[in-house]
Amino acid sequence: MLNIIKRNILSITASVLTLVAMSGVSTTSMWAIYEPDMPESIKKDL
Amino acid sequence: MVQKLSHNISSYLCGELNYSDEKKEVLSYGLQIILGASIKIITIITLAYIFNIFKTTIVASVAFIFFRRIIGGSHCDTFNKCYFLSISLLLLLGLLGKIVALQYSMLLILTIAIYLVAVVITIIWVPMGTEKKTIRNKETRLKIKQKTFLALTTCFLILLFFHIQATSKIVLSSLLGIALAFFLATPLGNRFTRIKFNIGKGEKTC
Repeated sequence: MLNIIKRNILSITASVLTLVAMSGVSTTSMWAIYEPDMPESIKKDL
Repeated sequence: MVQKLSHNISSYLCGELNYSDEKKEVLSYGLQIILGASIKIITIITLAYIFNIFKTTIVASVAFIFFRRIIGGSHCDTFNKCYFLSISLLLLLGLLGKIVALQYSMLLILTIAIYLVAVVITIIWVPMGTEKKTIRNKETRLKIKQKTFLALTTCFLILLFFHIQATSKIVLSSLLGIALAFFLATPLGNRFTRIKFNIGKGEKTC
């Protein structure tokens, strides 16, 4: 039971992080003052 | 530190969820954005509160971030430099907003001057790309220019309303935030963020 809850929490966390990463793809990203190196896999969305 | 922490957390997540290395990079990128922004926001709020410039700093920061997310602009080449530069600049704007007292007419002239300069910057440079990301699609660039012009005009109309309400500190802080956002969208602003400071020898992620 605990494992299922843990897995669900981690999945939700991963989904949120993916969403944030995708929102940071544009040069005019909503994350204003931070620009880490973008992974090649999402560069194509630019 | 932020990069290393992000890599460690994304490695753990991918290990638990059996994700690929490609997915791990995406998660790490998302984490770097969230952690970097959170650290800066918490520091700015804390220092602004300590220095008693909370209200003006928040107004300047909101105005800066609002336009920054539309027009883009230059970024520093290291996390440390970005951290110290953005925090110092925003606190300085908050401080100026609090201590500088302009007469109504001067503030009105400043508002119109910043609006006109921002319009010129929008026409020539917006959206300003960076070494890592640049929008080249002409249609997208035109859309961003139109969006910027619309946001700029709306914002300045609101500021003119605040002029009538005589809240000069709020108006000045907003103007300073907007001016900084547009300055960083020019080649001069880009050069400014490339100035070498000794604090910039951290991880190359910003």
